[in-house]
Amino acid sequence: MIVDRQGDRHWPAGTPDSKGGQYASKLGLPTGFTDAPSSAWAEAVARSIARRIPVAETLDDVEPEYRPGRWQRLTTAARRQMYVQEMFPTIARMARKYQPDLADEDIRAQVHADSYEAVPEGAGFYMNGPHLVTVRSSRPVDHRLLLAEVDRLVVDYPPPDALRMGVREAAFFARPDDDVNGVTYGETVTGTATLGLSDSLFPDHLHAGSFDTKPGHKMPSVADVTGLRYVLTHEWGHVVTPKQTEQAALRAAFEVYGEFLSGYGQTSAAEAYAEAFAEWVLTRGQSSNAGVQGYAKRFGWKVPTHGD
Amino acid sequence: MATEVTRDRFDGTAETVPLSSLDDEQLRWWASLGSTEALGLLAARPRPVTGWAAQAAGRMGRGRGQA
Repeated sequence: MIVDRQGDRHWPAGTPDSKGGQYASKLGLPTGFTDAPSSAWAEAVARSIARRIPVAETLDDVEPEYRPGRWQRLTTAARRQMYVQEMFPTIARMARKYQPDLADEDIRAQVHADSYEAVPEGAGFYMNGPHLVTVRSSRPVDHRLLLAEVDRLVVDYPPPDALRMGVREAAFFARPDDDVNGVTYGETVTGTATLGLSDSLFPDHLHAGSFDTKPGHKMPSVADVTGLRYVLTHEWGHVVTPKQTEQAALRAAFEVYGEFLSGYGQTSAAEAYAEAFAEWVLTRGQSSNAGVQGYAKRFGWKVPTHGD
Repeated sequence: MATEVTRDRFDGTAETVPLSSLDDEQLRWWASLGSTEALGLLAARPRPVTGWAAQAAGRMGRGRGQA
């Protein structure tokens, strides 16, 4: 065990209380991020993570304001409670189209029953102020790492509304033509802060350059960062993309700067924005790419404050 | 403009599809994350849908067995 200057304790990878082996490389030990993880290792990481993130038993325990690094783990019961609160108005409205005299309590009971299917046991639910991150995966997803990556973006580029992000099994994102058109790693509901990531990013894409698989098809920073960070930052570009009223501005920027971007960015105005955004953030605004600098100036992107 | 979902297939070409074109399982995923629009789409589907979201509105509004 190692005690750092802040008094926090750390365990090397491979020990039952390891949280991913952040000191393992210094000690000459195998790191959890690069070695094939055993299920025992995954369980140990999960237990360790669960211990170190405060638990909110009910929604009343959730801090209302976002604070970087101060995530809370929601119990399944609390997440179901949240589901009922959020979904009741929509379901009530739909149901009353057919039966206007339905009582609130009857609808609420039905939504509560439905919440058991919508919010399954075994998933991880994390909240920080209004933001929610869900992990539904049997892979050894490092929840703390994921939340830290989200923090990097929320701090400098707050989402337009409450974040609703989920990590899910790669099979869920699979399409019949994946071998021709490529595998889906991220999805975003346009105009919202709702996005999904494939769990194949864990642990396959937790080392720098892991996503640098097709020369010129992504922005240069893909060689320097983990695949997870690249995909998440790109998806964040979709989240913070100006809304419908500014579609003309998006198209105009694409016409002027699109040619300077990656092959992937050149496929559409939306992807151009997301690719330019990712490169801007991942180079901390230091990119020499004329397209990236053009987008940053035109849309007023700030230089990120994160340290690495 | 209808709400869309962008699928990022980084080694190929991104794909943008209307939210309404997703299958039930995909809509349930977005609804479970908190998308009330996805939930509304599920509940409004005319054919019987097995699953929590559409059943919620359908069972209550149209009576059990008819949703």
